[in-house]
Amino acid sequence: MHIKVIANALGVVAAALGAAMLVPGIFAAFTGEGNAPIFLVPAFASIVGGGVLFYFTRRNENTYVSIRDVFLIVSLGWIGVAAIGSIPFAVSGTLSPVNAFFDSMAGFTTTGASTILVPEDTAASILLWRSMSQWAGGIGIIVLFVSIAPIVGFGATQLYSAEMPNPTQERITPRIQDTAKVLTYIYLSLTVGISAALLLAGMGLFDAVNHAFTTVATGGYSTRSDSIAAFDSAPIEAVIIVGMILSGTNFTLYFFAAQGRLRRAATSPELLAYLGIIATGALLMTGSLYFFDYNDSLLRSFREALFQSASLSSGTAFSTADWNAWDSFSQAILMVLMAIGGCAGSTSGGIKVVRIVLLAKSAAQDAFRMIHPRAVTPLTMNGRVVPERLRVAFLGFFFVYGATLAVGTLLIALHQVPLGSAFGAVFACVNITGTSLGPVGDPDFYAALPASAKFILAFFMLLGRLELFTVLVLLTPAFWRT
Amino acid sequence: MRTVIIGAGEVGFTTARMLSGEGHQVVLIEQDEALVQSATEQLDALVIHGNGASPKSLSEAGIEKADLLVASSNSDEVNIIACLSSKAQGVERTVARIHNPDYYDPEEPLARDLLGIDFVIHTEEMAARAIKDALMVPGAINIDNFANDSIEVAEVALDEDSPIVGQALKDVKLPEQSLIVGVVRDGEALVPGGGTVLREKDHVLLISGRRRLAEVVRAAATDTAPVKDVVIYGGGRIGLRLALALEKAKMSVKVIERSEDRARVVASQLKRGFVLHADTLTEDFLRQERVDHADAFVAVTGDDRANLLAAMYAGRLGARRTIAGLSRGEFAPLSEALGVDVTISPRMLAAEAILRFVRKGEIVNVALLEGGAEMIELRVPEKCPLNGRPLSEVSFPKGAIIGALLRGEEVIIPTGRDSLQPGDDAVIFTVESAVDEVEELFAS
Repeated sequence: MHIKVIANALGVVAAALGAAMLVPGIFAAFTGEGNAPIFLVPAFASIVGGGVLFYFTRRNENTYVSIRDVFLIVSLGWIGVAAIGSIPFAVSGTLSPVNAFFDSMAGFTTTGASTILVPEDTAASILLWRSMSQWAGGIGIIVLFVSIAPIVGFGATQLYSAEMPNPTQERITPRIQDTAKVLTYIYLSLTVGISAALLLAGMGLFDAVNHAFTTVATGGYSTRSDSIAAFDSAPIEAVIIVGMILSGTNFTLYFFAAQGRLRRAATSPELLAYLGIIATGALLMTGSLYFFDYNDSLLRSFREALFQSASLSSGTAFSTADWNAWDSFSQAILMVLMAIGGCAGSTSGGIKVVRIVLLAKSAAQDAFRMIHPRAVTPLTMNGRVVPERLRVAFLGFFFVYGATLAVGTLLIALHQVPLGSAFGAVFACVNITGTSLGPVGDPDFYAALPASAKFILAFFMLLGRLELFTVLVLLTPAFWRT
Repeated sequence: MRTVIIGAGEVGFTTARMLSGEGHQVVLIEQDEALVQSATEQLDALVIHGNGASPKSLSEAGIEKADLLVASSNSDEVNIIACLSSKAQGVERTVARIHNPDYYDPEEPLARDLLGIDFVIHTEEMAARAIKDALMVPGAINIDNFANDSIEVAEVALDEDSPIVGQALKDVKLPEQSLIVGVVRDGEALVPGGGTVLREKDHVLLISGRRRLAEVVRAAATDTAPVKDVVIYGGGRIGLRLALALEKAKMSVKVIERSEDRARVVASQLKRGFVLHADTLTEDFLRQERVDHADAFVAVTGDDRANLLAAMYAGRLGARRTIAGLSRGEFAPLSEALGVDVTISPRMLAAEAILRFVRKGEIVNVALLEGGAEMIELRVPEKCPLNGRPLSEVSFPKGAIIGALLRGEEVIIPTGRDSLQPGDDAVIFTVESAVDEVEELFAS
């Protein structure tokens, strides 16, 4: 553990967050809604505090960053950012301090759960900040999982580590900064692209920017209570569907595409599986919605099914229909899509398609070895052998995923929340959708929870966002032993 | 012609014997003293004890006067260095045996040019190809291609159930445009006449145009059901290449490999086939994996003894055809007694390829057969004394027979009424004693 290194990194994060907070501050000053100080004061405090921290701990050439430092920086960073980010919600009086922290964590983890009851009654600057928190969390996740995690060795993206431009171990090098820069450009382009497309599709400027922020982050905060259904526009839905699918794609592939390796990007087995899952989910739900008489129009069924399929696969959880009223089969598919999630190295949540693909392959191989006990079955992905260590890690992940849901459900049920909702809430947080079936997902549900349950759920959002082990490793004695 | 050969191992030795038999002045360079000794005793060649890569040994061998260098040592690097330095000394043609695919890519001639090698011998590649050819024509134990693959020759071992056993050659019914061109009986090659009666255990050579061979073989062999399931024992260089080639030919492939690490390497390259890791071949294991029901069992580990025994074992259990790779000549005579259907000798394949290359110009192609016989493909020259007259009227060397002609695009299986024309490619079966006579006849 190197306190100096950790403090230094957290200083940078705090300063960056402060800079981001200037945006709603300036917006509030321009629109004259009077909220400017509640953004600008903490923004400047954060910038100055972070800057000072950074300055006094700045490193020389030889500073060594250990794996433990990275884990601590990441977890502390997200918690700290959520705490600072909650200040405007609390100070403006929009939310109580506990609810403010819950919402802020839901924002920066791109979960999208909220305790803001009626967005339409909330100040525009607060809504902008809410959307920005998801957007900032999204870029944080992309940089973390695409440029840092494969090198340090955590998360599903380590599968791609051999393909990333930097094989150096354990060191934050200038190469990582280059990668991060390219990823930021890609992320910005997507944001600008989606905003422009939404404007063209007929959305107002403020709504377009907010929805672009939360689409690219697959977060799902909307400026309307009824989410995308409020606009009731096919072009807007189409833009959002494409945006969600693009944002749930592995950003490594955009990296390849930017390098001109388009073929390599377009034939990624994870991408093909991801698109296949969305398409299959959409088709099954179209049929189910039509035949079980939720909708009497096949076209309408398809339109709703495709939107919901893309929305929950990518973990965005925008909605254009009230899926609580859907038939059981369609609801079950939604749950499965939420659990699978999007691609590794994207802003989406869930188990991740690449893990599902490899777990399924591995299970098929296990069955094969029952018949051929001596068969040697290396796990391959895109023609390359996946190290056995990673196969074991993925199996371990799946166990921990199940265990996390179980423990979480127990903890929430302890607060005497009905069991279905307790499970649903944990499921929504761990898969970073923020929404689940039944009442879960409604702001009044979260708002009504006891404070301790809110903190527990906030913790599970962090767990899900950072792919479980990254946070859980901090809870092991081995981590703290020197 | 002076030829320098590096390495007196199986390939070098065989090549030296063949070339000195054809009148080349052969100089062998070998590092191992025991091999130097045995080569000196058995060959009509100068054998030098030394390192083939060293310029000193090469100049001692008179490399500056040589026209041909055959680098057939076991080390790729030695072979490459020898080729490079001989090229620098003005040797016209170089042949090298290369194992490591890093140095050899058939699609990338640049590496070859840079390394100064005119002709690369890749024994593993050749062995894999030969085995695949034999599997693609069920019933045949060996296939050779001539005239740019438009003429094919199959070797079929006759067993007691074969439909043509006991028949005189003139009574044998074969599909049109095909011919029994030669017979190997008890290890001795002979040109059959109309009255020759075919016996059990004879190896007959059938010739025909491309794509008709399987049909022709069916008329002579007993077991000609197509091969679908193949078990390969040994996932080494030959085994892996073979497995990939068979996968491409839509066969189902199982590879049994003794080393776990190697098994993983092979497994990661196969698409539909799979790899089994087993240190020992127990009956239980072989039955579990249905080797007893396999269409073919191919043993190509690096160990000749293991190959023979495994092939025999699989044959006893019920595998339809068994093939063993034998890198040394030692045990080859045993294969028939052990009930192994086919043996593939990378050493012979390499020697064959070298001979083919060396004779280029006079001879288009050659295949070495049992009992010293050869199938050779020759271009008919302008001034051949046989030109224009019906074959029944010309005197052709005893112990040789024309099996097929390629005239333009057309394949002709000649009868007594056909005649040779300049520019034809003639595929000729000849016993050892008639080789020189045949070549003289076709010399331009």
